[in-house]
Amino acid sequence: MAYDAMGDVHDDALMVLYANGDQQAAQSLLFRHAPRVLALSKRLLWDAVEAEDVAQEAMLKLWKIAPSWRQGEAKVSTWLYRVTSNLCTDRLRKKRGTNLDDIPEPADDSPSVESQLILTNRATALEQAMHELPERQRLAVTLRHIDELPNPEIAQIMEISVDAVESLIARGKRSLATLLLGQKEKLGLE
Amino acid sequence: MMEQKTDKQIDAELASFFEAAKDNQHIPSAGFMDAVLKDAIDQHDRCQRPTTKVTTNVFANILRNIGGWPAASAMTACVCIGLYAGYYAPDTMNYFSSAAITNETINDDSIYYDNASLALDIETLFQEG
Repeated sequence: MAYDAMGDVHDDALMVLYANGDQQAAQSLLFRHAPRVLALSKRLLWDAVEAEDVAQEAMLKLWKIAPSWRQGEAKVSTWLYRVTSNLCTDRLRKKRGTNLDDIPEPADDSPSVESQLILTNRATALEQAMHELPERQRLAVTLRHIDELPNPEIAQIMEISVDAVESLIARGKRSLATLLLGQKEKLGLE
Repeated sequence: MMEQKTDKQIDAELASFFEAAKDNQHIPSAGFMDAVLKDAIDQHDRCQRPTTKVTTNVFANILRNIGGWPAASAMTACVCIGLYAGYYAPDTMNYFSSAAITNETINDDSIYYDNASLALDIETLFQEG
């Protein structure tokens, strides 16, 4: 599959090109956004298969909206993050409503986790800790500290004020620090 | 009693975790990418919007807007007649208009004397074609 061959073309222009039948534009949009959408849904859902479903659904919504995309109103990435986070929230709500046992267990001290707690698996430890955060905090912290989005853009994605974003991030980080405190030694951080 | 950590301390503690998470980005499988691209192509084929023909030819746009060639022909004929009337036929039009006025007046019994001039006018009109 060809790589993003239209690297210098703006997302808005790619949307128009795709709507006019340009498959190269579809590929460029795919390579630019699908990995991030998938990563976000994996972090929020903690389920690789379901995350792929959500990411595919979010991208399908993008393809559908392309003909009526209003240039300059919203960034494609912001729109996609919003759609993805909403889809993830829906899935998590359904899960909560149907079967709590389906939700993966949080990290514990079992040998399998013990083996993961090495330097290269800090990411995994963080993901496990993140999974214990409330959804909104998890989303805000992920967007801010992993996807490195500015707070105003996160506010747009989450449809809340910038102050509320800052508050969510601060509370989320406090919780994470507490959750990860006991693992620092195992992760080679002390 | 545990000390309350400052935001800076928390940021410092979490920094290495966030860096690790950024490095450990989820790489999508080829199957996933193919599926999404297939969706893109299918979606475009399914609801290919009726693209409005953007015609750069101004004349063609005007022709389409007024109703095509039949309307254009009728309008052209009317314009030609109007121009002809405007440039070449003012005298004749005077005959017509005066004849019409006189025709109205001949029904009036008080103006019989004008019949002769009316006849003259009509005769002149025929002579002039």
